[in-house]
Amino acid sequence: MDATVTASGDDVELIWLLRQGDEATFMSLVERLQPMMLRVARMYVSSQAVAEEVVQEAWLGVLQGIDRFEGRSSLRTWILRIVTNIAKTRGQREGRSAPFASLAGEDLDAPSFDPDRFLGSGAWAGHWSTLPADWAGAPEARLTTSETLDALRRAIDALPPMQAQVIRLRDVLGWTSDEVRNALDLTETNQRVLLHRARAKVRAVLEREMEIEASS
Amino acid sequence: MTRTSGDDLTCRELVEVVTDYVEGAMSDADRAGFERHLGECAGCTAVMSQFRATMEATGRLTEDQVSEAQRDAMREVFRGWRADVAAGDPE
Repeated sequence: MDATVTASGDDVELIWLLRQGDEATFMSLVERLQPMMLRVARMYVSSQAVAEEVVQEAWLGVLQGIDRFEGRSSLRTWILRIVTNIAKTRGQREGRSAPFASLAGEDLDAPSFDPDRFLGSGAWAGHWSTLPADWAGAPEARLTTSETLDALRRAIDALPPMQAQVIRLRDVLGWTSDEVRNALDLTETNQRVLLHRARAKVRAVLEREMEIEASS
Repeated sequence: MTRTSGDDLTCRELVEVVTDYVEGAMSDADRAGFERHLGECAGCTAVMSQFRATMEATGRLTEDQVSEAQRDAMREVFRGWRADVAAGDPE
């Protein structure tokens, strides 16, 4: 499995600058992390306004705690985990229960491909009835037209919130699985199941886009 | 999601463990079975290319911009904190 991610060299410099009270460093972290922090907070609390308060409280917690941060995780993981913790507490205080199933989605066991695409019986039951298209040779331009990227963005926005956060962190922002499960307080297995569901659904959207473009 | 043996993995089962495979979360036996299946199956090999392309296309997306109001509000948080520290307030 992944080695545990600890603070990188870049992080060490950022941490040092934050401890010096460097505003530009703080604001650069706001630029990078604020949208994700708001999304994570919004999962647990009742409104966008409360999510903004949670994120504000989290930043204050970051500033007040930076002297004690030991770098046992990456800086961004530590910051997002602070948001997660504050948002959960705030949600509980609001009497808002956010059971894991409602955040994760009720479809974690749903098939990644339409069952009709596999043979139902015979010696080859469970094997492809029609072969999926190989995209290895697909021109990159076809996969990344602005229409396709818009469709992907909409597909991610439509995912159950925890699936959306996991795929954003992993595949849009490039975080490691360890960073993501620490930041969102997920088990290793849950992180992986959420990621699979999210990627499978986004893949299906991309497949439809590819078919539309191929037929137009 | 993990099977005890990968020997008789069907295509329908394989597509559900793609992420276990790419995340390195399979036992050696399951990984060997998975790879053996891929070696013999053009359909599942194509699916791997689809997941790879999906991850790559998703990687082209960009994060939202921070609103001006949020940026100003966070700058205030920072300056307030620094003023408190300068005034020697207990944290």
